[in-house]
Amino acid sequence: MKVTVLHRAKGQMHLDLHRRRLSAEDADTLYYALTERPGVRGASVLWRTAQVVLRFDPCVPAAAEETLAFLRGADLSDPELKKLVPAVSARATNEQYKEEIGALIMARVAKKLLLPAPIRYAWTVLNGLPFIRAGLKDLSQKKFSAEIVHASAIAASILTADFPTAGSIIFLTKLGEILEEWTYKKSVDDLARSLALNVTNVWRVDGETTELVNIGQIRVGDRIHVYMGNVIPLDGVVAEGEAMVNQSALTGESVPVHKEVGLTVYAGTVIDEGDLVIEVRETSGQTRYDNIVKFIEQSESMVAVTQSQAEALVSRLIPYTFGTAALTWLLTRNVTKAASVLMVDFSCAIEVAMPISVLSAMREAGAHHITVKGGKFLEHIAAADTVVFDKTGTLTRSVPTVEAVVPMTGRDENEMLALAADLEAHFPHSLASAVVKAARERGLDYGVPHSKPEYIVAHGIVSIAAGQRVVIGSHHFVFDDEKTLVRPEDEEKLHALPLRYSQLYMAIDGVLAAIIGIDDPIKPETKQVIRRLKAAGLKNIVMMTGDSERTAAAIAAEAGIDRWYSEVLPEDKAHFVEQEKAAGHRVIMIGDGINDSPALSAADVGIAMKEGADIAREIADITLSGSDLEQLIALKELSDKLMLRMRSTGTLGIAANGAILLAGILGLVTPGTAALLHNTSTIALCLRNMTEMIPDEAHYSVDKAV
Amino acid sequence: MTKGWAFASGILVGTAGLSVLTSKLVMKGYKYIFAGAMIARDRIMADSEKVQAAVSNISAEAKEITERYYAKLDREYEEENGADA
Repeated sequence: MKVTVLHRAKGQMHLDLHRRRLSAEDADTLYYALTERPGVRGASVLWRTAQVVLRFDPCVPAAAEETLAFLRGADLSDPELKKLVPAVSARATNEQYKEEIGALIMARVAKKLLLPAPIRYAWTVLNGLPFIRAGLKDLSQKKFSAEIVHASAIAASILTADFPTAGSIIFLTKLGEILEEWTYKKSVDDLARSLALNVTNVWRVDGETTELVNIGQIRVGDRIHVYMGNVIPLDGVVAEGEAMVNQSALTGESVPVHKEVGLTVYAGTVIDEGDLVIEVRETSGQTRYDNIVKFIEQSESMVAVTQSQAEALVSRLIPYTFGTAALTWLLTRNVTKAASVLMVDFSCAIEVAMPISVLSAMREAGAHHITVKGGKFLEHIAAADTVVFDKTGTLTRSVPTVEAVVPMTGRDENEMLALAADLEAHFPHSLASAVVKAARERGLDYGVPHSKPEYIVAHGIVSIAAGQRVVIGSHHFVFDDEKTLVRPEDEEKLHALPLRYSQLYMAIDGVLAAIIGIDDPIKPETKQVIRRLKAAGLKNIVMMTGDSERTAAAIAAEAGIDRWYSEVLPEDKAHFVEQEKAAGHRVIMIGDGINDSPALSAADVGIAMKEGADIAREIADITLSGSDLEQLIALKELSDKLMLRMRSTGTLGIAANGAILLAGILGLVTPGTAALLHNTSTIALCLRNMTEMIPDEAHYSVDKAV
Repeated sequence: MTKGWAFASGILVGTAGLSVLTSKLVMKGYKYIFAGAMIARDRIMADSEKVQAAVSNISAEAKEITERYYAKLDREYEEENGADA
């Protein structure tokens, strides 16, 4: 590509690409190719003139030369470069709104310059009608909205034959609407883009083999295998198997639907029971992106409680706005002054700036690899005082490892491990994955087909293998529920394993066959995180685990947690959460397995670890990526700051508009200026609310190096 | 009588004006007028891009000049008060 440098200054370069102009596609490719480059801070692609203005990070002195060399060797039709462009280009959206604003301003200038006054006035009236109609509609529905206020101001100006004022009110209202829509859309798109980036892996079935591949590699017609407890990642048709599918994410219906061969399944729904091989009908990309956007916009929980309260306050304020306007008119007999009172409406700041602060906080959480499913959850976190941790996979390292397999008399160690892996293979629990991993590492063949195992949540698994009934699970399940016997000669082997190991017991035909010792040390950052959560106001920290009292006490002591419950069942966890809630606490539940699901949904905020079961992630309100508990601290800080920001949005909005209102009453500003000031203050608030709240990410990994 | 004539001629001119405005020939002209308006709009947007580039060039240079100015002040201060100050 031929490139000439038109101008160069420190940290900036202005380039000409020697074309008449760039197509939208090329402009997108160029924009994303450039912004992805190291040392490039920003790029403005001026497509109409085929020029680019680049801004560089001053800390990377070679960035300008490198980028120039890259551009000279680049080909915009290169598919590798095109891949960088997301499904919905932020550049194209910005361009579209810029164009709209440009057209609006030009139309106004052209009208003023070219049209004779009477036609201009007629035009103004015609343009004002939709606003008045919208206002009347809201009025007839007894809804006090900003529309009524705008409509009244326009109508008052038209009725008093003050056409220029009516014209500027209409113009500024339209401008404000475009700017607000732009900022809102930008926030939603940014959020959706950050969510769409969370790539998932799927099991692709290829003839006999099944392999784990990135979702991006799946093509229409491919078959994918989805197991119990997992989210169906793509739309498709059931090719094999049958299952109960929970479609509540899509339909709101909480009763699972039966799916069998030939029926359509939808992306985002979860398999409650059974498993399916699905023939993919639609790949990710646009659909997935659209679904995310739809999800964001439809999600009722997006609206934070503070915001709904503020909105209620606003609709109560609107009659007073009218009162003030009427009073102004009575006192001054000046319609213009009364109209300028109407131009200042308090709702804008709250109706637009608040959702933007929430969306922006959600996006910022996304930047820290935290997925937040609704603004209200951030609010709950800010208000919470109780945190309930699941132990395994949450406080402890998410990859527990099998440390020892103790076979009972007459049993072979590897055979037992293979059998255990067989049973555990398809159940998403961290202990299960440990067993499967150990079997794989030892090169054992555990893929033996057998009748479908049955998973008894938090207890264990029952299956029939080679005509024998095999059970695997906790001490409680295997001995108390299943009444398993221990041969006298094996008695002492029961105590062979060290205390800190979690133990899985396996029995064949009612007789103990093996004990698997799994070590699950706590994560290095756990202690630090617990301390900081306490410092941040979460006084009540509780650990719950299905493990034995011994393991629980050891882990709790190490993590610095003073309250713990051992050998709890899933319903106990949920029950405990309910109890705490009833006692007036706001509860955060953090877990990762199927067995945490009831508690996750019972809590005010359910937080799931990304490595956990899909169903937990689906139910959870917030998911943390990987195993990094430090994200909790970031999440807490983000929530607290969001609350502050929302409160200050209310205060600032009311203060700024109050001042403009006063100026309007005193006749210091015309209605047009009032509208301009009002819109400017709203946009300024929106822009402030779009900024990052946590300035430095590095701040959260302070103690890692130590 | 004159008022009546004025009214009638007004109607006549009005209708004639309307029929001129809707006549086939003139109707053909409208698309060119609109196209012209759109081209004019694009020209203006392109010019605004030029202005945008110029403004950012100027501000980048202004930043550079400001930095140099303060760097010079710092140097002078150091020379007067010794480098260890």
